[in-house]
Order: sequence, then structure tokens, then C-alpha cells
Amino acid sequence: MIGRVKKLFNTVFLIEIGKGLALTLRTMLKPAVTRQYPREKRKPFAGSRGLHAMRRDDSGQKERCIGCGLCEAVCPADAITVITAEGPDHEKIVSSYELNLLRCVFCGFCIDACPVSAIQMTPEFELACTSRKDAFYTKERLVKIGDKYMGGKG
Amino acid sequence: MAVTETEQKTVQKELTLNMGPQHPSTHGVLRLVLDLQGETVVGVDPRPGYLHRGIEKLMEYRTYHQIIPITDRLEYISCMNNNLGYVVAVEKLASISVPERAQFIRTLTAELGRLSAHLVWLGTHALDIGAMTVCLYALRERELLLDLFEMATGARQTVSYARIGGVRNDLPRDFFDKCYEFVDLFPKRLTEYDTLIRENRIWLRRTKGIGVMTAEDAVNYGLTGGTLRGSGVDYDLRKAEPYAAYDKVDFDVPLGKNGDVYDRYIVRLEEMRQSNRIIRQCLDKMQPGPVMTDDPRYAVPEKTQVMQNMESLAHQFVLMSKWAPMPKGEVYSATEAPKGELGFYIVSDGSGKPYRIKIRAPSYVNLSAFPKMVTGHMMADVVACIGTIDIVLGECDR
Repeated sequence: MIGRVKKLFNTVFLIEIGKGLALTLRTMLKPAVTRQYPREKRKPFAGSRGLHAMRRDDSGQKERCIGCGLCEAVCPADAITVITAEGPDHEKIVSSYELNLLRCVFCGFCIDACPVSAIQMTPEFELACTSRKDAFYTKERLVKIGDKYMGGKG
Repeated sequence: MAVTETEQKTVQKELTLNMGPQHPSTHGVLRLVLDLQGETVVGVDPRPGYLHRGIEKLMEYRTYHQIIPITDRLEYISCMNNNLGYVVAVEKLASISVPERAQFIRTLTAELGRLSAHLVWLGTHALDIGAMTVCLYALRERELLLDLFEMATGARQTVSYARIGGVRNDLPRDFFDKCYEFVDLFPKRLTEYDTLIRENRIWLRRTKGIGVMTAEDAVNYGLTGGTLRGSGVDYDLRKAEPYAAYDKVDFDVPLGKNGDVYDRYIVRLEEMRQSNRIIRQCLDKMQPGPVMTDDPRYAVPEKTQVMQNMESLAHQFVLMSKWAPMPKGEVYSATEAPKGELGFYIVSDGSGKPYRIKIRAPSYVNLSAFPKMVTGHMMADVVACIGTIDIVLGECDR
């Protein structure tokens, strides 16, 4: 009997609707959780997987990459192309290192694979570009990004 | 009043209506061919396949290691669970043992993944039925989860976190504080969702007695996950065949009674509470230790070892370029993903690439019960039924 009266009371006075509305009202008075993105940026977490960067070697003169091609082999999206050649002192040089961001899936396998930690990931995520050409990152561009995030030294 | 012949013809005439493939409430590119008699659905023919990317075929051309990012794209709102399902299958194939800390991390992240999937389900399901606020609140909490993912793995959505024999990296120190914060906060937020819709009269009208599946039907259709447990069948792979560290944590499997949309809502909401419980236990019970297997065949060497040790370097080259030879044979392994039983059937020919992988996608199987659920109901209940079977087309079409 009491249960039925209670149910009738709830139905007539819209109790559950009132509770819901009270909750939304309370939430309305709390500070907003939405971040106004382009104006208000969040600090990225350490180890965030964003745009790649190339480190310099210990001399700081050239890139750290030894041209082993392991990143190219492990890349599940075939985004990396490494071309090597013979240098003036018969050493192996990386003549071209190209990262195609249009294919990259940011899985981080190249970083895990690199035996000399030459390629790294930065928390840079704003990668929009106006031309298709800008999405191809050459060795020089990657080294420049490396300088920005890790300094000029290796 | 006598019905004239023309009127009778008008009444009996069926209308065929295409719903989708871009309809916002079909949760992706699902096309439904509805046969309508007035407002009543008399037949429905789901036509999946618009998001087919040939994932199973793509897997045959990649090494076991390279497949991990592809599994992210199966059910793209709970990538953790897909990664886990795949690596558990590979580990079963090659009998790789995984260290305990990695098992706990896997359990923890899989439950976080389950929460993120269930929150998206709750938000969109409620939104389809007409409760917009729940969606905003659910996605607010999901943002916290995505932050946790980014801390742990570096990515928010396509995490690629589990590795064959362990996980990618150990959890960072500040992850634990944030995760404890989340675990404390989340039950309160669950109560908020309940306040909004559990007793709401519109919600009750829209969900009670809709899309009923009896326990027998549910089993016959091969349903799994919350869709099955809403009908009262006690089947959860985390209990039935424990993997990762599920045998070391304590949790209940919530069950429904009537098998309607409302019961499935109750079951999934309670599942979130239980997931929260599991996460807390994992955080408490985790002991320091290695996160990668010590099996010399398949363990990816540590970076410091690679730089100093010739053997590790050689091993790194072999694993990363062509992966180690796997034992010949075939294996089926299933895990409890948020949508249901996610199974991987792997046929190995002894090389570093699988000969064939078949994915038992819970969304696809659950979709088969959709015509049974919706036939005889009103047109407006179609979206309620799509929401309740909780499908993701990325996994359904593969």
C-alpha cells in the first residue's frame, strides 16, 4: 500500500525528472570542463606519440641515423623510406630518409626498433598542412624538429 | 464499419525503407532495409560491409609483431581489448609465458578500455533514445580515460600497447595517482547517470519490453557479452576461461532477467562498476617486476641492451624485420571484449607471418540477432535496438 502511494506520489510530482533536472542544474553551476582548444592548450604528457624527430650524433654535425633500415622494415604502414650510399671515406651514409606522414599511423614501432635511438617521437600533434608536399618529412626537416625538442647536441 | 477493398489494400501494403548507411543512429556505416507496415517493423535486413577494409587479409602480409596496430582498428573505441585479444592468441600459439606485472597491467588497461567502450555505448545509446545530457557526461569521463591512455601508452585512441610476451612499456609513476583519482571519482559519476535515466519515465517507456531476447534465443543466436547477459545467461570469458590476471581479482558478473533493452542497460552499467572494482584491485595488487617475457625466442630486448650487447642487437634485427619463426599449427583463443567474445583463430605455417587469421567479431554475431529483436516493434524502437546490441562497424565489417 505504502509502495503504491509512493509510486503515485512520484508519478504525479515528477520526482525522478526533478532529480535529473537538479543534477543538470548543479552541473551547470560547476566550472566548465571543456577546453577552448586553439586558445587554451593542454600540456602534453611525457612520451606522447606525435610527430617524429631525428637526433644528432655525438659530434652534433650530422644525424644520428646509421641507415640500417630497421624502421623501414618494421613499419606496418610502409611510411618510411631509407636510402643509403657510400660516403667519401667509404663509410655508409644516409643519402635520403623520408617519412610519409600521410601513411604514418603513429604506432611508435620505428622508435622501439631503432638500435641507436636516432628517431624519436615528439608530442607535436598539430600536423595540418596546406600542400601534399608538406606531409613528406625529409632528413633535414626531421633533424630540425629534433633540434627544436632535444637541442642541437646528440 | 466495413473496410472497403481499397482501404484494405492500403493497409496491407508494405513500405521498404533504407535506413543508413549514413544514418547518425546506426553507429557507423550500417545499412538496414526495413519492411514497414505503417509504423510497425515487419521485417529487417541488416546489410553490413560498408566498412570492410580486408583486415584479415592485411594481417597475412604482416609479421606477428606488425599486426598489433591493425587490431587497434577493429573495434576502435576499446583498442586495449583488441590488442590484448590478439596477443593472448599468439602467446597461446607459441606458449609464451607472461610476467605477472605485465598480466596485471593488461588487466588494468583492458578494464579501462572496457569503461571507455561502455561510456561511448551509454552516451550514444541514450542520445539515440533522446537523453542528450547523459552523452555529454559520459564523454566527459571518457576524456579522463583517454588522458590515462596517453600517459600509459603515448596515444589516446590507437594505443598499440600490448606486445607479444608483455606490454610496450611499464606504467609511468604519475599514472597511478591519476588512476586512483579516477577510480575514486567514477562510481559517483555512475550514480549521476543513474539519476538521469534509470527511473526516468520516458527512458522506461522506450526501453522496457523492447527488443526482448529469451535466454534460449540468445544462446541459439550465439550472442555474447552484455547482450547475452542481459537475458540472464551467466557466461563471461573472464570467469569461464580466465586470461591475463582475471583469476587473481575478485568481481561479479551482473545478469539481467527479462532480456530487454532496459535489462541490458542495467547489466552494462553494473559491468562498469565491476570494472572499476577490478581496476582498483589491479592497482593495489601490482608488484614491481619485468613487463616483458624472459622467453629468449620472442622477447624484444631492452633498448639499453640493444645498444651495448651484440646478441641483443642481432635479436632485435631479426624480431623487428621478420619476427621469429612460430610453431606450426592452429589456435583459437577468445577474450571478453566490451562487446562480447572476441576470438582470434590463427593458422601458422611456421614462418614469422601468419598463414591465416580469422577474427570472431562479437559485433557481427550480435548483429545477427537484430532482426529477431526488432520485428514487431515500432519504427522508433529500431534505434533503441541498434544501441542495445552495442555494435561497432569497424569490427563487424573488419
